Amino acid sequence: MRANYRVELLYLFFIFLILIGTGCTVRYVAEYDATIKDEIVQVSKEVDLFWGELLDTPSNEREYDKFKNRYNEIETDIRGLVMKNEIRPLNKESTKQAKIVLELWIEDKDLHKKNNSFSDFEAKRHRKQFIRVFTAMAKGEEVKDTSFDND
Amino acid sequence: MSFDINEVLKNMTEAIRKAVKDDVGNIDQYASRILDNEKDSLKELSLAKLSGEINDEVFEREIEREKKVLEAELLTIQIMTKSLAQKAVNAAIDVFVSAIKVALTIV
Repeated sequence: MRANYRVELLYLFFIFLILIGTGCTVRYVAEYDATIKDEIVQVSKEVDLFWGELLDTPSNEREYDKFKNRYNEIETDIRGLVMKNEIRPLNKESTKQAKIVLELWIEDKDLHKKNNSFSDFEAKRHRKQFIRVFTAMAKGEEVKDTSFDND
Repeated sequence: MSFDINEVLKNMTEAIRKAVKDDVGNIDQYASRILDNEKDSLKELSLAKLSGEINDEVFEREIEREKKVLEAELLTIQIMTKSLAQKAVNAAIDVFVSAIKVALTIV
């Protein structure tokens, strides 16, 4: 019994040494990625420009065909953002945010296609919604950068 | 071997407090901003519905969208909270490990 107790103490001592030697840190969020933050801002600008151009187009000239290429280009960029977030470990919140952006974008594309136009009310509103979501995404990424700052 | 567990725990608590003191305020501030965004958005929607500017279909569609936008914003609060917990735990563990190292060198 006494010998077993000594062996257990020895194991605990070695575990302490390993912990001290390796530096034990925990991680609950993904590592900060500056390129992803830049990409969030870039895609956000593309989306905002899209809405700006749509709103500058007279409402009776907003046929879907005039905008479909931009819808598809931006959708590809948003899907890229989803994928880049999805492959990062400990990143489910940011991935979900990117997927929400994709859902909202596809909804708008489908709505525009169905109505072959887009109202000022919805365009202005959706423009603001995208700004809110992209701001949330950028803020979420930025917060990961400070996560190891211990003053 | 000099290792006062009470002193170490006190230092760990202080390390946690210092590590998160700014973050708690930031989360609070951000949450307020989200609520302000939501207030403005719902006000605009309600005015549009009540004035007849939009019909039921548009109103319901916008409500569903609003839920998704709000969810996206609240997910950032989740990230901020996890980040805060990460900082706190690592600050506390750093203090503990340092204390162990000091105690071992004194042996």
